[in-house]
Amino acid sequence: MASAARASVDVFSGREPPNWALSADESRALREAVDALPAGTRPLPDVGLGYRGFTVTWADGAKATVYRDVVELAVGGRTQLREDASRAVEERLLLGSKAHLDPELFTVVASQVQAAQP
Amino acid sequence: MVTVELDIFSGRPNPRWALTEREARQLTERIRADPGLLLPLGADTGGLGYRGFIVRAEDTGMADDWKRLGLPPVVRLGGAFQPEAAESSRFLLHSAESARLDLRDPGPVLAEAESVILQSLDVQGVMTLCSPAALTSDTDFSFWNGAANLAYNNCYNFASNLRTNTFAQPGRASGSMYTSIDCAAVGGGAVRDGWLTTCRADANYNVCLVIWPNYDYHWYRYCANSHWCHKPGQTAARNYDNSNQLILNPETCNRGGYTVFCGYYRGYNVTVS
Repeated sequence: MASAARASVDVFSGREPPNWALSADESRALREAVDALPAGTRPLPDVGLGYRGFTVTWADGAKATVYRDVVELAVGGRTQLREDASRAVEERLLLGSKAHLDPELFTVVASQVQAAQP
Repeated sequence: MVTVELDIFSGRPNPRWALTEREARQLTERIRADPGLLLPLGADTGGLGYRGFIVRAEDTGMADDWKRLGLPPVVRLGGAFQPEAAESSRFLLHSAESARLDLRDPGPVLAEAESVILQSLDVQGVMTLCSPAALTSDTDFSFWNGAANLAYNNCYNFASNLRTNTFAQPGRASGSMYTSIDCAAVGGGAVRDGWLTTCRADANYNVCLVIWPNYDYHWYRYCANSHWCHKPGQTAARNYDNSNQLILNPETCNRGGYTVFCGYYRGYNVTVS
């Protein structure tokens, strides 16, 4: 079972990425959502400056990086690619970030998530 | 809606186009960072030929940021006598590329405007490199991009050529980190760390600072083969910009939201943390 987790949004270059703790329920639900995704083939894109995705790190060491419909899950020393065609995991993380980000930053991140290029 | 008019013709109507929502927001960020970019509508910005841009904010949602800044509905930006607005002028000019202009062949008109803007950049003489320059490879970034270091070193580490694994922040090593995100505050922090705006006699890392107004900063470093390199946050160090183009000029490369170019700094063996 997934343990507690922290999420962060990779959007800055100089400053540390904003990060926040997820509730136990949300941690578990996110892990289940990621585990349920089908395998993918496309890697995370090399975006450069600006929004580059969300990261979730669970206390058991598992780590998911989410950008648009691509989810990279690293667990137990193995990295797997997953495909999230509906971008539901990214949307869930974006909505969850609203309570933790400065409102103006949230608006900017939300617009960059919307505009993110494949 | 925010519309832009390229003020260049005498007899014919000037080309006009609408900014996208994203472009309007980027323009507002530029103005927020430097309100002096704007001029009154009646300002003298040149005679025949390129005279800058007339920007109009109309009463729709896209102009909300504009109104929030308390800006007048019609303003001028750029022109022959405003070299400090060159970068924003080029930004506005390039926003025309995706717009449908009411011209049979907009190419020569836009090229004429760009030529005048670039000349004003030369007058400003922003781009200066100090010698002797300390150069590192522009293609081999293995020192930075290994798994043990990638996530723990940022653009400031890379600019300083010092891998601290602390996500270094300007001013922190000197005990006085920046407290706001603008050119003066972040650049001031770097100066307290030991960066200079003048050249050193012995060796120089030539670096430059850009700002995503109010949110973040970013640094580039001059590397071998006349390329500029950088490390966007926790990602890999590289020599290309957001358009996947090799960076020959950090002032004009695609920097995403980091729209404000602050200037150049030099240092060697600067301690950052």
